[in-house]
Amino acid sequence: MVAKDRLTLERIDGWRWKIPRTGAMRTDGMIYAGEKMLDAIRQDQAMDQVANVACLPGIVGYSMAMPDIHWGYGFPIGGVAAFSMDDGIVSPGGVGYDINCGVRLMTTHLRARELGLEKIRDLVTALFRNIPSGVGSSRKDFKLTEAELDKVLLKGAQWAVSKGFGDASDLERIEEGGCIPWADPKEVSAKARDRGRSQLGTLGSGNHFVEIGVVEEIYDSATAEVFGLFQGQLTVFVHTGSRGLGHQVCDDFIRILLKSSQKYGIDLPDKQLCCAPVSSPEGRSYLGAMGAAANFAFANRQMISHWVRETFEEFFGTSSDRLGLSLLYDVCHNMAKIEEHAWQGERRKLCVHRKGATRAFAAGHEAVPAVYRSVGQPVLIPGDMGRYSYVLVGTQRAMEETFGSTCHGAGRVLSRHQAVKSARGRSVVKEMEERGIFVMGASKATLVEEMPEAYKDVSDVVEVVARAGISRPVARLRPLGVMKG
Amino acid sequence: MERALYEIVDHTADVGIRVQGRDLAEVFERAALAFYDLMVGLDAVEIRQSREVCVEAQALDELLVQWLSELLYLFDVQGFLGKAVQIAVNPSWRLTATVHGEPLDPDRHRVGLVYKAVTYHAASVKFTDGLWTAQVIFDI
Repeated sequence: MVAKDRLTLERIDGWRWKIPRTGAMRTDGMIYAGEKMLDAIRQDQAMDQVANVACLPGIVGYSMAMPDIHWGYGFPIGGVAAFSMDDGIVSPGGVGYDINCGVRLMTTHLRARELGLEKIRDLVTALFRNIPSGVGSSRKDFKLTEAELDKVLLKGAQWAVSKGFGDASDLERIEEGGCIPWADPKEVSAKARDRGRSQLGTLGSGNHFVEIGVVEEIYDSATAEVFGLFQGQLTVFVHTGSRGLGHQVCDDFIRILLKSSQKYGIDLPDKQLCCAPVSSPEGRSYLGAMGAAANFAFANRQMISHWVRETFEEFFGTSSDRLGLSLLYDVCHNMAKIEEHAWQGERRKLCVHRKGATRAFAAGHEAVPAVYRSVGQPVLIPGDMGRYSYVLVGTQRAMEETFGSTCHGAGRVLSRHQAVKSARGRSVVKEMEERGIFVMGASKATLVEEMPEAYKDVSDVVEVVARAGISRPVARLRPLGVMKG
Repeated sequence: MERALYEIVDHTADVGIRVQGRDLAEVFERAALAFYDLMVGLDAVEIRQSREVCVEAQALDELLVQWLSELLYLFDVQGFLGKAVQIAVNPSWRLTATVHGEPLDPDRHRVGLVYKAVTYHAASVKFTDGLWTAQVIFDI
């Protein structure tokens, strides 16, 4: 373990803070943050976690954290670290329990002002009827057999499209085309399958949501045009992941990798950082299982957006094509990926962990969909349910500094317990309505725990990545109606 | 006054529990009851069915995490909620238990907290001053 009192923060500029290497650290840490965020970062031990990650074998470049950094299991949330394929590691603690938790944004031809709060209320209520959320709920018209589950794990969103959930044109607008090719369903345990089988096509709880919003401000009109965004436009965000299946895969592999860390003589500063060499049998098994769980999440978001389309069709009495309801993009923010990056003048294959961080590739990169390649990859940053969300675009600077990575959201400031305490005697639903936002949750507890003041202001987070140049703001969105799981 | 069954451990993103007991069986039993109480409220659960659980690990803290993970699995897959536990803990990290309770009934049970996972972070099972204390944090 790195001695806490020996960690220092060195100012590089107003947006970059270095943790110089000390003790068992193999490299420096680098935190992207504004000055006023530093106190909170120091307080919740996230700095120690950045230093812990820097101790892992085969790390390439800095152990990084994005400005939405906060304490996580193993890696901090907001953590980014790349490891060599030869002597580096892969760790479930660098991905998180909710494998391929992510967000997708859908756009429409509709103008938000055509719908008042009443209509938004009806629309959210209709979404609630059609999209299962909360404990134990699922669509009566959808059952998954074991053989079909294997195909989901292998093919992800491609499976969903082949079953009629959305169109083939959606696939090119999903990170990795909605399918991790190295997924290996055989590595997914019976328990994980059991937990996942009834949960495909469900939103889940916690911070997961479907949100109807409006484009409030455009910062970069040329890029917004390529993304199909315009001021006043009605949009839909979907935020969910791999549900119990992903959680179980993470849990299973923490157990397995606790043993292999010993086997390979890796000193662990924290049990949640257990890992194995990327190229070892255990490392490859984890990557195969993680890929399969990621595909489950891609299929999940694809199914939910299909039900969003059906709900809109029913509600407006016209086809989703005429409503212009199309997928802008789908990003992952809890993943480890094998990617090629230029590093110190050399092309290198690396295992890039992004935990509570988003891939943000620049214009021209072949992984950016052809439709967006001239401007760069869309980056979707949801905020809390009462304020705003952002659409950003990847930059060359991110390619050079952060292995093409940026922030993922707001990050909590209040614990769930504190949120419940501070909401005592108040009605979160009413307060939100006063702001012109209709919210509906599967449980009252979730709404309270997820209230806006429990989160950092996402605009502070976005300001840092924008000023540091690792992504560029394109548009700001404001929520109008929120369905919370 | 009788001590509360458990204490809540507050944590920025998540929530945890701390329990005490005179022996390992009691502390593992209380951890399970706290797990259910925080999730749904023990009073709301009735005894109608039971489930057998057997877990093995390589250390006591891992045994605690895996015990509660097993209960989470039973809840996630079968909706099973416990109210009472009979348990035998072998100090070299093996546990067998019968959990008495019933499947989730949305009309009677209000699920407050839904756990994603039981984590190893700050998980501990310690013996001090004649009492066992166990602590664990849930990823929400």
